[in-house]
Amino acid sequence: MNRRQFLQGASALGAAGLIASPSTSRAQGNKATVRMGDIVAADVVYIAPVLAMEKGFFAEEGLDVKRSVYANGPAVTQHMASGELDIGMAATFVLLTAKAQGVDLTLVMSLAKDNAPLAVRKDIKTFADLNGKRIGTPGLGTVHDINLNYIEKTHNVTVKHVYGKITDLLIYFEKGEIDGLVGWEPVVGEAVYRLGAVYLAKSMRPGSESQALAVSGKLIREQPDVVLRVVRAYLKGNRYFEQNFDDAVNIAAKRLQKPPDMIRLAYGQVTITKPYIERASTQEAIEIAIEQKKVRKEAVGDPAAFVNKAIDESFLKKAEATLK
Amino acid sequence: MRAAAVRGLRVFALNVVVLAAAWVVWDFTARAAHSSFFPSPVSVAQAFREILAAGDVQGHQLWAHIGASLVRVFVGFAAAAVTGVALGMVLGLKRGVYDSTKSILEPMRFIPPIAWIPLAIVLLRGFSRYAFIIWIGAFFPILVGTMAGIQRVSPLLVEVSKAFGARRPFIVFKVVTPGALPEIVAGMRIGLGVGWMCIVAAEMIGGEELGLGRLMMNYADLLRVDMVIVGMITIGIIGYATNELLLLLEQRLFAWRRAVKV
Repeated sequence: MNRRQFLQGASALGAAGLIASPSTSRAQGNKATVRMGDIVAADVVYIAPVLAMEKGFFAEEGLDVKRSVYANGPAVTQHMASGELDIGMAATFVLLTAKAQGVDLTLVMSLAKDNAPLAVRKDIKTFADLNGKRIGTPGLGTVHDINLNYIEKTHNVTVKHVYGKITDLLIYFEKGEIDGLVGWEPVVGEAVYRLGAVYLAKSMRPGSESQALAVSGKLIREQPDVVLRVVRAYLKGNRYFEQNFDDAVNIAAKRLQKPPDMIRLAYGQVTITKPYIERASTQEAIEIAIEQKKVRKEAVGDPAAFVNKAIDESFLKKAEATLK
Repeated sequence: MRAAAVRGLRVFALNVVVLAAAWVVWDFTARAAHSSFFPSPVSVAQAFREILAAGDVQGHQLWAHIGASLVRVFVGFAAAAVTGVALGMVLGLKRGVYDSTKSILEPMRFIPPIAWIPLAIVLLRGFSRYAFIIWIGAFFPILVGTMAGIQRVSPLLVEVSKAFGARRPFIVFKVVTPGALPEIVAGMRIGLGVGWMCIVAAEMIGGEELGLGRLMMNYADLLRVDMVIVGMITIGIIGYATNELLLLLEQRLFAWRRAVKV
């Protein structure tokens, strides 16, 4: 082998290595690998992709989804910031906070509304009774903490925010270290179902935006067809949920190792089947975050314009049109 | 005396130069990265000013976070020092006890402190969780330092004491223990360092609003990397200061030991 042949061979190997590199999603022929960020114990709320996995909707769209699970929404956005994820599921507010901090992502559809229930000890009957109490929240940067801020503001009470992993909050509640918790379903539902808590609030207000699907800007620019296929698979999951609620409950119950009754209770606090993002409540959450100094005003500018710019529902519209 | 002062000045000047060089390298790298997730030293300095002036997002002052972490570290460290030295003395003096218990002790020594977090959450409450994680991190270095110190005491000292009629308690407390103290204190310095490293993991458990680890987690949730670095630097400075205090104590107590110079 002479020097030229060696260099040609080495170049070919290098090119092959780059093509095979897992650093970004690749569509090879019709198949595409997509790296998805998920959140622990959120199978009830993220039932659309769960059904897409279980019922083969991702496979139908030629998608091989690699799922990574994180403690909360901010952890998902941290990994989107580093480029490790192509799509991420988190609270709409959290995704927008990340965007305000410079993460290259776009929100493409809503996954759930409401889903920020507050459950408390039985002796706490009204919002006024919350004053001075210790309430667990899954993190300072979560929409659930924002919802707690909203409750404090509108009902003129002050509570002590106790932060922890959502599943640890159940333990704190059980041991009496907190008087209530705000979080996502079905975890809060478990506090009601198993630990004797009662729901005090479902969310900021009925129908308020909660969770969304975000896609990396890179994937939108380089492989918009893959984004459309992802949204189609999610939409198929949504429609399956609507048409086969009992089966969806059983699937979520099995995955979470919880009784189906508890899952049904959780679905009383969540709205799954409205895939367009509710903008007014999203904007309100951003405004509260600015007030609370969780997001810098300079990074957002005008909240309404910021929210509108961060959302691209064209893929959702195309998916709906092609799935009719 | 004069030579010592000159030497001290030279060390100080060299450290200033090293700090300046680190600042330049950091600034250069931040400009090259050009990302809000890699803030420059100036951005971090501004974040320091921000939190010192107005407190954190929840209105807590940096000093409150420092105080909360310091208390947890020192309580956990103090517990580790007492238990580590006491058990280390027993195992160092009674080799047979160590040999018969090492099947439990040695594997436990290799379990990382953060692996104990799930158990700490379920079995403990509030402050005790933090103190436990820091205790488990600091305990083993102190234990091993104490055992090693005991075993390195010169047998000649013990024999001479016996020859002069010394009884066992005298030998243990007046001969062996002072002889082992340098290694015991060295173990404590390592234990304190591990304790500080555990504080972030311990405060990630949650359950309290205050603490440098909690401060960093809160700002990580908000993707404010500049504030996360503020927490990191604060932990580094306090850890360094506490280590220097222990070193000073070591130098005062053990001035009779000559430092090895190569």
